[in-house]
Amino acid sequence: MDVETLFAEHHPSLFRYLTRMTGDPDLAADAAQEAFVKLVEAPPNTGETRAWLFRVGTNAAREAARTRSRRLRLLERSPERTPLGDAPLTPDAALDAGENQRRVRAALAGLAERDRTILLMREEGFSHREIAAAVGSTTGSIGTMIARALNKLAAELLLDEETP
Amino acid sequence: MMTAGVHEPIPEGELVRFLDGQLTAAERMEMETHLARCVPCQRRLHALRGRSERLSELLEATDPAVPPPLRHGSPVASADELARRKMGTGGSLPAPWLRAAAIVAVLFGIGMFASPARAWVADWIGARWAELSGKAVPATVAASAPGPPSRGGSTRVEFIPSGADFSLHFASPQRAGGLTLRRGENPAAVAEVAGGTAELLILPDGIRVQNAGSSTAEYRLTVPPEVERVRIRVGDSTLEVISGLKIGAEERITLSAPTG
Repeated sequence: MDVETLFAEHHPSLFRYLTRMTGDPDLAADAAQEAFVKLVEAPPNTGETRAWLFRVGTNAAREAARTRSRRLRLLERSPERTPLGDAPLTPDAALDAGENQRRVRAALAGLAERDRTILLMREEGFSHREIAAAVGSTTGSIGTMIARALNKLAAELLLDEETP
Repeated sequence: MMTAGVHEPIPEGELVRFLDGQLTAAERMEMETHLARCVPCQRRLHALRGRSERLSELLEATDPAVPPPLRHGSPVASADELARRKMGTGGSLPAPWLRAAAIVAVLFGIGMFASPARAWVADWIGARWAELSGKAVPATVAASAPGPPSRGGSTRVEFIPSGADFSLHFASPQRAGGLTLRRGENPAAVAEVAGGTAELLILPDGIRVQNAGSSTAEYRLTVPPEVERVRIRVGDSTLEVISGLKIGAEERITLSAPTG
């Protein structure tokens, strides 16, 4: 399969996954782009390109988050250089959307990175075997880890409440 | 592997494997037999399914609407599409604009690492993006039709950017030099290099500057009124996001490497 087809097929889900993983769409966009640049430079030998892209994207996001953390520490010493960020939405919409987003991101951030990876890769439709390969675990243990992570999130995100 | 008997509770991990379609045919049959007789396990399965579905809904509801740099359509998958993905049957075919944008992005990526083809890729991207966005190709871009592979990028470019967010990406921090950013009145963005060498490559949502760490070049960028935010990146880091610049106003940003 050629690269542009792979991009069209996998970029949206990779970006979505990385945004959920990091809570930062800009960082996620950069990490996703880096994964595809690496795909062009040195494509994987295995046929599991999608899992490879997610693994490389996850590593790129992790590295970018470390860089950002260093930069934020610098900005704290020079607050006048702090990026302005996106303009706010209308007040009510921004409150609702922002509150929900903060709640979900905080809950995900409260999980161990491995549990977060497992849950979010499951959301993207990966098999337990692919998830196990990505996090260095056994296929048979992934179901248990998913159940445990879901239980952790259940109280915080009210997952047991019926959707109206 | 399932080992629970009819009266033993099924471990939650096995229930998740069942939900996710990860059991073998024999395991699945054993699970269904057990579930048919075990109300507590049915309840636990129901709870796990509900939590999974609720989490998916929450994640979808809080996803960003558009993945940059593809800002011209919604990437949010429908429930049906997500369900198909979870079943491992893939999603729907990408829209034509998405495929075209993907080709542009991939060619840009290739162009960054294949120096002889870089200028051609930059020109090609500008022309294709102008076609896709339905906007006229400004004279300065149209004049730079595909040329010999050895030719470098431009030191002055002018084009109509695609959206409210403009990306200016420097390949490297510089020894000295800086950027003067201005918001103009014309619909075209204009970027120029002075006092040094660097190549300017037009992207769908901005410009990539191929500069060197030893450079002391000065840059001048004028963005149109439609551009609300300019995101300045140096290497892998975002240096600054500038918004709210008034028409006619200028701002200067230093491009030397940060310390620490």
